[in-house]
Amino acid sequence: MKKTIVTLICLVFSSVLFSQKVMTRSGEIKFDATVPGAMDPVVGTSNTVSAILDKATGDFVVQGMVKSFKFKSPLMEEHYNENYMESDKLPKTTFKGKIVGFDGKNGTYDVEGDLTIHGVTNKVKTKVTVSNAGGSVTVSGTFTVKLNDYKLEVPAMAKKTLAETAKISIKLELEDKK
Amino acid sequence: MGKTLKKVIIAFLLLAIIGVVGFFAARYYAYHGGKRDVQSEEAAFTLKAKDFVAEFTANEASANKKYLEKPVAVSGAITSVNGKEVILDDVVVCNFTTPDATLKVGQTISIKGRAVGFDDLMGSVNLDQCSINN
Repeated sequence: MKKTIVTLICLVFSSVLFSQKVMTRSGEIKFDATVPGAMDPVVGTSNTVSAILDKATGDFVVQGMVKSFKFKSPLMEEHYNENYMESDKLPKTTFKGKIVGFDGKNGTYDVEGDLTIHGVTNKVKTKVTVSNAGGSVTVSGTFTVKLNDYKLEVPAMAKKTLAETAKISIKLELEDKK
Repeated sequence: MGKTLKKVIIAFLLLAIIGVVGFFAARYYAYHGGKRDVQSEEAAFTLKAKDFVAEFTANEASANKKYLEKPVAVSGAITSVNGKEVILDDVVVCNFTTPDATLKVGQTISIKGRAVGFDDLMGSVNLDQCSINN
């Protein structure tokens, strides 16, 4: 009996200890949909991406504000917001999923989950690199997204400047919740 | 070479130069021009940080419609300063273009910025291109 109680207490405590969440609100997402050889790079970057990772379960959520993506060209930024992403109506891009088999160690992991862009949700699977340094956990990775999969059609006129596949790089430095 | 021919050649060269410069100027303008300056715009709404966020938690879609993209002046107490990011009453995240060293935690202030959206992970509303609202 005593043993069970001790074990139970240990279990409760360990679950409390390990249900640690790490978070950020200043993560970076960059996407690149430049047509190779085109004159103008189509690159947007946001440095205000928020994310939460549950170190115990590997549950991983990322949210980026569509309007927070900055472009070198204000005109391009306007087209991106108004003609493609419709950011007034659909202001968010989210990922909800899991870092599979997350054990806190440095290395490469599979990530699976639902990616929502432009109001369209698709199941995605990719790889991320996890590295620990000075109390923070850095999750980074690169993957590609087909614009068509998210109802983002590239009109014939724009095919020379806007690629149909975007390369997305993500870098999140997650720290203990303050 | 006749004097008139020389003049014609010079005129053509000048035209060519004007054409090239004009082309690049137009391209530069199309690429870089039209940048918005939120700081110079009059705030479309002036309200308290808590009330601002409450509208988003109550009905996100209608708050999006009302506020997104607009210059909004939000007041509250500073609860965090982290580089360019200043947080009011824990719920409104203001991103400045350059860090402002004069801002301190505890200070009550009004900040104007462009409404970017509601972050339901953090339960906060984000503003960017922020400046201190006087």
